[in-house]
Amino acid sequence: MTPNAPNVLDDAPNAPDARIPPEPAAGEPAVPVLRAEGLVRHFALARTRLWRPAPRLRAVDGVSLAIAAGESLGVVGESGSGKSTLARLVMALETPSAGEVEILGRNVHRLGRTALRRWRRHFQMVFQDPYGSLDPRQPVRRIVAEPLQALGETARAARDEAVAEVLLSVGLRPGDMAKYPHEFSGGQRQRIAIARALITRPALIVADEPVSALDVSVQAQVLNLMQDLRQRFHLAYLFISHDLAVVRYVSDRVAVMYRGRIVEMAPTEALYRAPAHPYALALLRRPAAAGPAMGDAELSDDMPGQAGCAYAARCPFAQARCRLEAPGLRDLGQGRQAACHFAEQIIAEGAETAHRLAEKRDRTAGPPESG
Amino acid sequence: MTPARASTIPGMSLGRGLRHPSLCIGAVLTLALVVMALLSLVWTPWPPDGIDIPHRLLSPGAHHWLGTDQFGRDVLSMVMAGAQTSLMVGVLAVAIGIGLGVLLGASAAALGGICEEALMRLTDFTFAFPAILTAIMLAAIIGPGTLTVVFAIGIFNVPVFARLTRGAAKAVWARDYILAARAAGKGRFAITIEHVLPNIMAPILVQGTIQFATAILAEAALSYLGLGTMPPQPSWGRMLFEAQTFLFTAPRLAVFPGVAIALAVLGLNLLGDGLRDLADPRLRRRR
Repeated sequence: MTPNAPNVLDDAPNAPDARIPPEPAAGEPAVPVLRAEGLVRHFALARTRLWRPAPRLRAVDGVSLAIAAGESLGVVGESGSGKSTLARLVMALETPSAGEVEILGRNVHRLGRTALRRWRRHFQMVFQDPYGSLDPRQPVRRIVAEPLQALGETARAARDEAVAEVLLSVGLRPGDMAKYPHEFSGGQRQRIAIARALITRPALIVADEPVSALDVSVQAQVLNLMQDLRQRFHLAYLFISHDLAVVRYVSDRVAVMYRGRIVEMAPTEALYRAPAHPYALALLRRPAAAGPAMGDAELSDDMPGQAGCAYAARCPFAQARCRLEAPGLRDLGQGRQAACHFAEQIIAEGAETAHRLAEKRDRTAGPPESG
Repeated sequence: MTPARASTIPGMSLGRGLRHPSLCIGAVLTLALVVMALLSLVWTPWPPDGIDIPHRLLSPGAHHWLGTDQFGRDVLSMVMAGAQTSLMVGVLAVAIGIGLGVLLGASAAALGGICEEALMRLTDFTFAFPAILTAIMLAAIIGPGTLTVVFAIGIFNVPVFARLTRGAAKAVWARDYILAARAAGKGRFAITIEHVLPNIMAPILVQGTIQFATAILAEAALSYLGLGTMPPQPSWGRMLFEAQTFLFTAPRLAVFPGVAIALAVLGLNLLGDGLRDLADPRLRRRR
């Protein structure tokens, strides 16, 4: 345990201050809400040859990131890029093959079962599908109160009070408590899911594609709600999406993932103005490339031991050097990092592209030609 | 604020149930069986074991509505009292099946991996023995009797429910709300109790009614073979066996318990079918 970590574990479960996200006292260095270091998660695939070792899918392959209190980090990438696995590793729903995840200074994969259960108060999750993530046989009261109940706060009156409060803060009525999920629309269901994540007053909410299952008109409402809540409760978000517009709206910084690695990390506006990695550039030019329809091919052609940049085969800027030498994530200044040998050139190229795109959008006010 | 209590199975309501013909018929027949069994506990026209040799093999008439058997016992009273045996065997055998089967199936689904394999292979092993064979084995060990039948059919039911439960539970375990519960800090046991079991109640109840019918049929068969219920306890299967001798002189002795068995099994099967239709979300809209 880090000595600076606020010792919330030992608080009485019902003590009111246990709900407040711990903040470092003045003078102490700020503990990041989330710090991931060298996260790796391999999956064994089905054996293709009897005498060869089973191929491994490197879903997450050395990801390091940090999120400060109240900060929102967006993660984008096509499906199969390891975004969801990253979310599950952060949520301690899966065990990393290597690396560590610290939430408020505590390595969640090292905590004992009870300690982890208690620590989960500080990090909650919102899932993609609001139809699948709420138990159809439970009333809203139980769904929303479940994280509290798991913490051992079993006094029903107190729980109902907390449920009513969070329902109000997500724009639902306390009277909705007695209803069942099927009585709500998709957007309302996602509000219920958000209320559930809020009820323990976490410091971090991991949102895995929280709006991609919703109608476009409803997406905006839910995103606005998430922005409001973030300011009100000083929440940090790890916001995962394949939709660049959505990520741009909610994130302070964006991490672009490709094949289990972060290939670029930059402040949101800098990235959207001029990405430094060709893959990020491709995503901006062709947003559909990140969509859920793609990716199966990407999943299967994992080649272990391949030298050079993983993106070289798809990269229009690839040089001989790219196929020989894998670029590491390097600092480009102004808080941005990219894993590309030619990041500086790409930024210049990207600025031009972004400019052209913006012009075109203004002219046609329609969707880009490639769907 | 009292929550509107949801019915046990979503989409099941009395109104819709009444509009479902096979459910209706099944429910009426099953109810008749239960009423008959309960009534026989307090009242039968004659004592079901009252031997009255002078009045043996009477045809149906005013005194003995369904006539008497070779010992002069009242057939209607015996059929009524036989319903007790059938019902008891059905309830206990299904209870054993659901109790152990759901425990095994839900544990297998919750544990996964090698534990799951081991548990399911164990149930396969049990499944390999037909109920009749198990009953013969049990009868050889503990002697014939109603309990033998209950255990034999109960053991036979365990793998049926174990497989059903495991399959349904695995489907539930793959749902996002389970992941959400894990992210909230719930353990496997709590998740099984709070999320998995409530979501698989419907198929288990449906299978329960159908296994109930099978149990009644199996009890009759085993009693007919002399492995089950022993006299003087009345049993439909036993009555069939005893009527065999008089099949040509007094066929009604076989017909009445036969009809009772057929109606009871038919009723439970219709009830099960109706419940399955109601619980099936694809059919729910249309009804």
